[in-house]
Amino acid sequence: MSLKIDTTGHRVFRVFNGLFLLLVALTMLVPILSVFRDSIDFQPRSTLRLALIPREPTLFYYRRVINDASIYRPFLNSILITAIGTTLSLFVNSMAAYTMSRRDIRGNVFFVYFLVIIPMVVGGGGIIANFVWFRALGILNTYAVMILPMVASGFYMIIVRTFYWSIPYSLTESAQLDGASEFEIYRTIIAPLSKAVYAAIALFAGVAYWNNWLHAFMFVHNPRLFPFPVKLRAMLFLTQDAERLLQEWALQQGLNLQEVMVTFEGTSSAIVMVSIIPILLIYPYLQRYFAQGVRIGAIKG
Amino acid sequence: MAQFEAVVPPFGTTGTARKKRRIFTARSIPLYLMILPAMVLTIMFQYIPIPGRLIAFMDFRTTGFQGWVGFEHFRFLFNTAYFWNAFRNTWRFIFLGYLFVFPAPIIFALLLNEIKFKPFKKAVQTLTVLPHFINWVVVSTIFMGILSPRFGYVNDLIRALGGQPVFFLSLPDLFPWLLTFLRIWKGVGYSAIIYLAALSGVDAELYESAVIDGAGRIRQTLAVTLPALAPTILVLFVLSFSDVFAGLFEPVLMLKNPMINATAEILDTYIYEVGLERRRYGLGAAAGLFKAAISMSLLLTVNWVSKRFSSERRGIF
Repeated sequence: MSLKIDTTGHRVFRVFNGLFLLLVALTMLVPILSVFRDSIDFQPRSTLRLALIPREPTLFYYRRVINDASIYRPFLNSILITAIGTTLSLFVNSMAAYTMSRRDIRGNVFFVYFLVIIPMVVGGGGIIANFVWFRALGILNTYAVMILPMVASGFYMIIVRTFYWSIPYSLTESAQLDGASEFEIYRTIIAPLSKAVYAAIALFAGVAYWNNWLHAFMFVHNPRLFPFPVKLRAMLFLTQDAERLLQEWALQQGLNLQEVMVTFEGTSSAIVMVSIIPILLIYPYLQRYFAQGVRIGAIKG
Repeated sequence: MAQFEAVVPPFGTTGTARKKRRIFTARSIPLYLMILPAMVLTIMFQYIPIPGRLIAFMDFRTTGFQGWVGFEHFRFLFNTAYFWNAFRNTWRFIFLGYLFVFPAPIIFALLLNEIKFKPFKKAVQTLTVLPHFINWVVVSTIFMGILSPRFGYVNDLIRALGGQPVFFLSLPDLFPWLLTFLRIWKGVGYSAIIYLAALSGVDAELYESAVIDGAGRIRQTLAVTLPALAPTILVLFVLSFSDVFAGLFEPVLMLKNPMINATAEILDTYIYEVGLERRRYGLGAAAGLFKAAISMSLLLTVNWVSKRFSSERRGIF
């Protein structure tokens, strides 16, 4: 951006800036790499291990995790919740945003207050009221409680509405003259032009549903319905409890504690990696859409 | 909402005066039907639970309503050290949030913007955005692992330098800083996207004229870059409210352990433990009212601040 002025001070700044940002990037990378190393290394931890390269590469831990049949159902649950939730969220919010974007009907300001601002300021009823209400509705321990409360989002509505405003109104007007109904206009003219913003919203919602742990943790106690994050947490903690028991047992039996422990650390690392590898694989392709959505949302909004 | 109305292309503005008079017309009815699902869901999950706040004044059991108790629960809370502890800690995290978590992406974006070597810039950005997509369950596990006194990477490093291993997650004084670090770690790259977008839109001519006026690098940043970022910063100052406040629950719940309750217990976790785990709904709801009051006053304050400092005297609403 700035013009080139090569003073000594600036050159020093550039070097330090580059080094600092490198350090920041490493701070992001090293924790993930160290977990990765733990997940493929058979080396007992009696020694210091600063290098991030495994000494005795093994897929033993991954095999353990993959062979654990109990992770498949939570995984499928998460896919189901994410697919249904994202689809619903996209339909509900994009349609609502269309009505909000239309200035020629009564109530568009009311809708913005009712659907976006008041919920944001008031913040609903809080954990306890939600719990009591969900129980009265009979949706505790169902898929619905992990999907429905998050569908309507004022934030998404505002982003999409702002995007609709960038579509020339003359398109709508000429379609109206041709006798198209409002829903047809939305379906055949507006929606096809809004694919970019829909992609961004779908990604926001998708990540939110995929990563949602809190709703399931508070409102779902049936293990058959657990989404992946809840199962993940349970597995990681189970291994820690098991670790403690095993430690005592190994001491009693006079076994090499380090070697026994390493199995558990390794398994837990493999669980972590299994859960982030899908993200690592698809994320570089999706990054673009996120950036796009964020920009539409906050700069124009 | 003024902010949202700010950049309004003339969409649907033609002939508004006449059409606005009647509410239900052949044109408007289908449009109202389209917003209906969002209305129903918002009423169901945002509005109907609001009267449930009154549970704070009730004797409410698993069997249901047992009678009114007035301010009984509040009296109990005020005499409970745990509650005040949670109250204090919540405020501490809010301050740390606005002091460090909120400005971090701005500084990061400014520094990254100075990098001229494109591949490096892109690599740093890709790496820093990544943690945003990893959920707290995994982030907390990763860090519990690398901070572990026995096998953790950080302690290996300390030992290599000749120090004694430290059990980081058992130190109450350290926890607020640790959590602040983790929140920055997870969010800085993602939040910086928007500032970088705003920075790329700054007119290069402004820098040229600043240089002609004899401005150095620092002066350029202060006089050109920051004013260009100001509108974005002000909007995000209000929107970051949810990150700073509502976003606390998950990470704290994950990392909290009995050794650090003195600084890790926040209102959310207190409400959860008292209200849902111990089923004292009334107490939980009373603490929830406190949380709502903090949340509302905080939101109105940041919006007011944002209004006060923006050139157009506009907040988010």
